[in-house]
Amino acid sequence: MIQLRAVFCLMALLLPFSPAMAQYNFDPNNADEQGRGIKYFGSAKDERGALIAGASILVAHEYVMVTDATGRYRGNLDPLYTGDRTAVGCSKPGYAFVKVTKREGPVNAVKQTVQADCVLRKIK
Amino acid sequence: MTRTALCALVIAALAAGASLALAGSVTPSEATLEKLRQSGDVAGQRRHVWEQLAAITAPRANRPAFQAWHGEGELFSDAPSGRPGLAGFSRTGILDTQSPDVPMLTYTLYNDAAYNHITRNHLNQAATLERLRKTASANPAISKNRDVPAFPAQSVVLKTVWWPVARDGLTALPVWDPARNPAGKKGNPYTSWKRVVAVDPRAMPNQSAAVAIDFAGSNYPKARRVGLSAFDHVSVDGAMARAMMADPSSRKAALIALGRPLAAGDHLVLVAANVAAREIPDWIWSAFWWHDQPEQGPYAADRPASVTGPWRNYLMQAAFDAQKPLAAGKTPHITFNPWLEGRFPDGGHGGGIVSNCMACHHRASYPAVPFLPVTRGKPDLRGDAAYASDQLRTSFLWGLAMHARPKSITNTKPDSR
Repeated sequence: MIQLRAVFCLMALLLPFSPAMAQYNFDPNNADEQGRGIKYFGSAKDERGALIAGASILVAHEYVMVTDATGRYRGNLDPLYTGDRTAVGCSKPGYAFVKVTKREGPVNAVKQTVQADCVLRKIK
Repeated sequence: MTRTALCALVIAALAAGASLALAGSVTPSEATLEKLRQSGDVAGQRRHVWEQLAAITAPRANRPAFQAWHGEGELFSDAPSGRPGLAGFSRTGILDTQSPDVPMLTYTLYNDAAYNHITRNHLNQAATLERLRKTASANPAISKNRDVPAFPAQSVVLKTVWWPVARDGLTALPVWDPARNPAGKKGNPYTSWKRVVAVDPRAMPNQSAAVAIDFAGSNYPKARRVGLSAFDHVSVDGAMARAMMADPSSRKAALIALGRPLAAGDHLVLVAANVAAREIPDWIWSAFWWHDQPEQGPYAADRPASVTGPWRNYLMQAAFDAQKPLAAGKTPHITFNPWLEGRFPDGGHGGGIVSNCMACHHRASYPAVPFLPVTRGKPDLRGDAAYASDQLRTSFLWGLAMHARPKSITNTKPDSR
């Protein structure tokens, strides 16, 4: 029983550091949550899961967001650019494209979101 | 007075007054240029604008003349560097909005005539513009609008666009081919262009002309290798790199091109420039951009022998008028720069690829209004907020309207024109 309690305690301690907590959460008090548009956000990683700074995220080849020092990006796009009909790519000089995984947020959410995570491979 | 002294006086007077003395020809009078405007003589207009290019790029101390001009930082930055030209890059007060745009590294330069007029009249200060809104002379054509003092005819303003090139290895550079980039509803930013070249600072004559390179998520297996000598280019030093990377748009442009911030030892190649020359009251407008096949197509036409060296690799469009000569379908005249205006979406009057510099810059006024969507032809004097009562016309210059100091709350984005 003591062991089980210890496991629960450990889980409770680790929960805030889980990958899910690193994801985007809607916060209406954030200045960049105001106004219309779809929030695009996500990350760029290499094949081993290391985050990549300075990668370009291309939405429909018309808009570019760049990952910050932590390998993440975010930005608001026109509501026309819904996740289901918008191509998302990514690139960085010296890297080859591997894949983009795209997920749309809940349809009935206050703020429409698209999470697009990119994987690149370092060219040797 | 001796003949030598007289000669020196003449030379000094010419140097002071003729900032845009055209290379190899006599500077046309305003009346001659107005005739060119009225007639819609495209070839004549183009010949004049090519001569403008020859004049502003003529070598002075081993660099193009315009690199000795005053940078926008001298007028609008809180921390001007004191260096002329692009080397003096300084831009402050621009917030990082994380906007998902397609940015470029741009810098606007002002010749002595334009710079002196702005500083003498304090036109780079918002307080002055506020005062002029109430006290300046009335604009003769736009109801309840006033004008900043008229610029001298020698004034030239040059907006330059630079592409970062890594000191080692290859850097992809998008190339705009008109046939492969038709006008579309969503605009035509450089990330959507269909072809790239590979810029190689160490290109050797015996190297393969075609190389494979990636750009913006696409692979180009046979990109043409191009050396630095094909461009007007500058080497980046530490101070330039620091100043440019402190500017969010320039930093983002470097990340897109290089995948890393710009550093000392990298290069910047001039990919485009827009020129506004106040030779006629509405200014003469031209757009230049680099191409690897610069002898082909209508944008290469009429280039004279006075345009030399890498400047022969630039294509051009010119506008003396917002409407004349009419474009296909009897629509207003088109003059745009693929780099600067191609990206603008169609907001109801066509996108950037069918825009005209003059139609847009005619709207430049203080307090600044959004310069989008693209408008064409005659101004909408009744419905457009740019012509509302009490607007101060800033002589076609968006820079004054958008960046006068101290910056207003709306002036948080870099000038895109």
